[in-house]
Amino acid sequence: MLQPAEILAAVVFLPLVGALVLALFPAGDHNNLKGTAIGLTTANFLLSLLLWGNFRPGPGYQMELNLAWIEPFGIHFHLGLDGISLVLVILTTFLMPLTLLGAWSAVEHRVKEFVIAMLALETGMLGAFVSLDLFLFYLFWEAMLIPMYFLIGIWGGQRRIYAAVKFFIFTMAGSLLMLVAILVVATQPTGGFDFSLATALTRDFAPQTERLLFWAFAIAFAIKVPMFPVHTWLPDAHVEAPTAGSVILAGVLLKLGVYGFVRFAFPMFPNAALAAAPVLGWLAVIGIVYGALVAWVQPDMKKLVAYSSVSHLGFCMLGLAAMTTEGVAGAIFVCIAHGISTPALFLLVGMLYERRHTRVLADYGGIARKVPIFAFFLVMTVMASAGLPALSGFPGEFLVLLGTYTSPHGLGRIWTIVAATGVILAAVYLLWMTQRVLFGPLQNPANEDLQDMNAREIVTLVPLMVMAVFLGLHPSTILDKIEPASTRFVQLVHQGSGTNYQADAGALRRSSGVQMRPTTPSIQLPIRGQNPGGPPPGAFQRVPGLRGLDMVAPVKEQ
Amino acid sequence: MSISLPALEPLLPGLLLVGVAILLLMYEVFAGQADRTYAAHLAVVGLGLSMFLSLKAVGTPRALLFGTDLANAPLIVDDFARVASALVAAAGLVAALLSPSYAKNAGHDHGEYYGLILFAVVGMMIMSMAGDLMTFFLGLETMSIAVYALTGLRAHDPRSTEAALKYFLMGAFATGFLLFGIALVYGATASVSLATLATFKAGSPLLTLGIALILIGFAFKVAAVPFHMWAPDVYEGAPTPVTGFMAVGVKAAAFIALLRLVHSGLGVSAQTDSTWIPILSALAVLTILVGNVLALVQQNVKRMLAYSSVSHAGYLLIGVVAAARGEASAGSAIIFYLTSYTFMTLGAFGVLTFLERKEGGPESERYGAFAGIGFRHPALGMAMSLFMVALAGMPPTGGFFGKLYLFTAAIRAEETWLALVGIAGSLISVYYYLRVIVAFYMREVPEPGPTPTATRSAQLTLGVALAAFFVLQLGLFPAPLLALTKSAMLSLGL
Amino acid sequence: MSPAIPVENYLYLAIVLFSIGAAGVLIRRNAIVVFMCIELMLNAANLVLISFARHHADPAGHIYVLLVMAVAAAEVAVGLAIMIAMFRERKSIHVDDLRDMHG
Repeated sequence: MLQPAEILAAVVFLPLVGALVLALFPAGDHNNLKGTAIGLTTANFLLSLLLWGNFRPGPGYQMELNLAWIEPFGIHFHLGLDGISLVLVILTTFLMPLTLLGAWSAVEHRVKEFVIAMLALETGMLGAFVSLDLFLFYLFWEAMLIPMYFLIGIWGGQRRIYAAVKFFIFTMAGSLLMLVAILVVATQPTGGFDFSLATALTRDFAPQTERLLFWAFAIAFAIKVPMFPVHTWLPDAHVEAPTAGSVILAGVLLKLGVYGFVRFAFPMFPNAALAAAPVLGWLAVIGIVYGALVAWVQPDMKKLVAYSSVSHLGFCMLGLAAMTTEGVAGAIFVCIAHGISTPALFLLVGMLYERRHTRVLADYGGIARKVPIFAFFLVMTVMASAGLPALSGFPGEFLVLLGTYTSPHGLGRIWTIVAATGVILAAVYLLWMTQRVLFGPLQNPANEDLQDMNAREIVTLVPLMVMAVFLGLHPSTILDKIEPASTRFVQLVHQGSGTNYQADAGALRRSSGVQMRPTTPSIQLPIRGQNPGGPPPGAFQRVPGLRGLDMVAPVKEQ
Repeated sequence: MSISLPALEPLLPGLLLVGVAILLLMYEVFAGQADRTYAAHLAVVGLGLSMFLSLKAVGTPRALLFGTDLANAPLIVDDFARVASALVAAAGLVAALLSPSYAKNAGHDHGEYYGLILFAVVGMMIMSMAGDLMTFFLGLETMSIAVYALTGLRAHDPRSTEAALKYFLMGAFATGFLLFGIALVYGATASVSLATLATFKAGSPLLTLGIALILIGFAFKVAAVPFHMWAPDVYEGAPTPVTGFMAVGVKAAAFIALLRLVHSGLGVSAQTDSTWIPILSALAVLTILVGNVLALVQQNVKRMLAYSSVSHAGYLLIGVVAAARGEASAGSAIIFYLTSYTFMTLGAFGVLTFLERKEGGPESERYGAFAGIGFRHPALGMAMSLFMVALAGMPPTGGFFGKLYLFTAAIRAEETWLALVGIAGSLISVYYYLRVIVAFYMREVPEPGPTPTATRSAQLTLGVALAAFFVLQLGLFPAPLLALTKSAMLSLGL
Repeated sequence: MSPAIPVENYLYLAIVLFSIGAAGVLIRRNAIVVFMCIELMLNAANLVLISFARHHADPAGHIYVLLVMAVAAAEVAVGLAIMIAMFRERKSIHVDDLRDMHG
């Protein structure tokens, strides 16, 4: 039996091995190629569930695999998981077979290259989520750029080359900045190199240097998220990308930006991060509202969904900027929820496009009667995306707003209010879209013969819908995994910068009256040397507020 | 001074090549109209053996030839020279593999061709071993004269002769500067030895002028801006495998010699005399920016690669600045970068050789001529993508690790701004390298598409495959080469 | 070493020769003349070498001059061959006619 660490490595590299095997297949046998790819990715999903099973609750890294790699440079092949990585890994492996299944009939030419690109992309994404070495992370981070570039550039729409190059150059610009910062961080004062994340976390820099390094990382990740104002590549990329590309882009790739902030930018440069949090927070709320407003006026469905991503990812960044456990856990939850609802939206738009070859809202209207199954799925997805309670969109956004309101720096309440309008706007533009597509009189005669979803398409969407409902009703399934890691993250940042977060948070809580449990402060953070009466350093407590969101399971603490 | 045969043993890798080259030239007299593939094979075997001998000797003590100490030995065979010799032999080897099918296609299938490549490699080896400036000059000329002839080998192609004449005139011009500089240094120090040069801490005007002229000569050879004007025309006009060989071999040899100069002679004066660092830095910045921007606007792929090769010289100059600052790792970084650059550039030119059309001409080298190649020749498309990605400096390739090493050296030498300029240059370069991939994979193919001859030959395939293998190997498992470069730099006393 | 003419004077003469040569390369348009100018530059270097060899009383300088002359001869051989090939192709050896490639 494989050790858990070996399973982790296997999960990361199985798709790449699969891609190499598929390269030997005859190019003409499309069904065989697609079938094998779907089989491989499904197997990889099942394998990744073993990771879930092996995961012990706790804040640290688990299933670590640490091999010497490039000794003279202090570079290690170091993989490992914490709760945040775990859920994102599962999200990736979960989406992959569905995406391939969804693309079954959409991709008809260059099928072999398509499945190879998809599988290579999966290895890149998974690797980036579990790398604990800066060099290794950078390698995966860049490596996934190339297959995505091919996906957009080869199988995309009219302006695909423009979109692909723009995507590439934007991301690359950020990555190169990050590379310089990585090199600075990895160069030890003693003269040698060490690229391991653990060492990077212990390093102290002069404030000026730290600020520069933080922004170098932050810009790279902000482009990927994408945050306002560096989001402009995303609508182009989404509109031109094939459905499969959009699904992966929105479902996983954007999350890497958020993940980068959580894993690298914030903990490595805590002082600079706390200093920058107001800026990031403002950019995030601007992104939320701006994305929502622009989405509202889009005539093109895919562009609408693309801008809705800008808006949703704004919530993720807001949660991080708030720097509270609720905010961070909420941000990761939004990532997962967005990774379920937006891929579903893109798949649905793709299905319409395959039939009618148009994505313009005005070309539809009243098709609900013709395609009832499609209408059902679209309504479900839209509700999940808009953050209706009992569906997956709700808990994350709620936690982010909660975490932001109680944020230790004073801007939290203003942000909460502005961001809350974003929630309302999301409902508006999504329902507006649904209404214009599905309901009203069927005016366009071209829609008379619209075919409803076939069995394959239903099979593609059902798992997504099940997850949307399940996570809405039972968010603690993944919150349990995220929460310790989130607490540890918040701890790392506050500890690193030496602020006594507990006192601040407590004061805010009392004044705002948003206490989840009146008797104890809801967040107990051990601050080294500043909290002699508290739990020992490294210990951490559950945040009861997170469990209160479970709608089905009884909340044990109360 | 009597020379016994065993004393020449350290020179064996070079002597072997001279022997093979002479053999090839002699045999050419009797060969008649026969196929010259045998000549390629002989050259490849010779180069491979020479490379093996050089690498095998790494780790053995330094050998001084025709002299007793560093100050009077014209040839110094240390690990630095051995690693460098292996590198240029590898460049010659891949170039020789790329040549047979091209030569047959272009109708200039001569045995002398391989002889010239071997002589050029020998010249490069001498450059890397040179203990004094005069030996270095001789090595440089051995290399240059052979490469002039190689460039003009397609005597009936106007582009080839034009390239040869331009290269010859500019090369000879540069030689004039270099030689005058050497003469002035000789005047100032009463010696041409690098070790003696190192003892002159404060530069007299004569010495400063001499070193400046030598640097100008170098700048010409590596095509650093503003001495780069010849490069694009020469690269475009020369036979494609020769272009590849020129782009990597000449550059590698020049930088390696410059490295020895910096570490033994110039470096000392650079640290005491503050004029060199700003001048070298300015040269590096200009070269990176101008090279990249001009590459951006090219419509011809070969020409684009020429300008991009100018910009790569700029990245390497960053390493030279760091080395002149006394940063110990800069030298290994330069050797590492040169090695990975050798493979990715030769690989790219190999793919171009594959796609060369019978009629030749600039039309077959435009971006548009490559539409859809990626699907018609999947392996070739993958290889070209790999080389482009490597040239752009992306992981997981040797190009990435080389840049990483080079820029780290700059950061450690407290020249972070130079690293940033290098990064900015790389970002610009991403655009034009991607254009090749766009042409290969994403452009609509007019039906019926253009059908390049796709000159297939086992040697060419092997050459491209070797290049691709090493580009990946250097990116994923750079440790063996890192060890080699380290022992090379140790032998220079670092 | 003849005391009558100090070594500086040789040096100045060499610099003048070198400058004439370099200027000629940049100004002249006939490839043969350009090449002769380059030879002038090389010979300026030779002059420096030989005069300093006398000045330093170091015989090595004389040997260097011989080496340079040998190298220059080899260069002439290849250079003239290239020019002949060029002349066969376009009946001209003016460098202004080298304009097949641009960009």
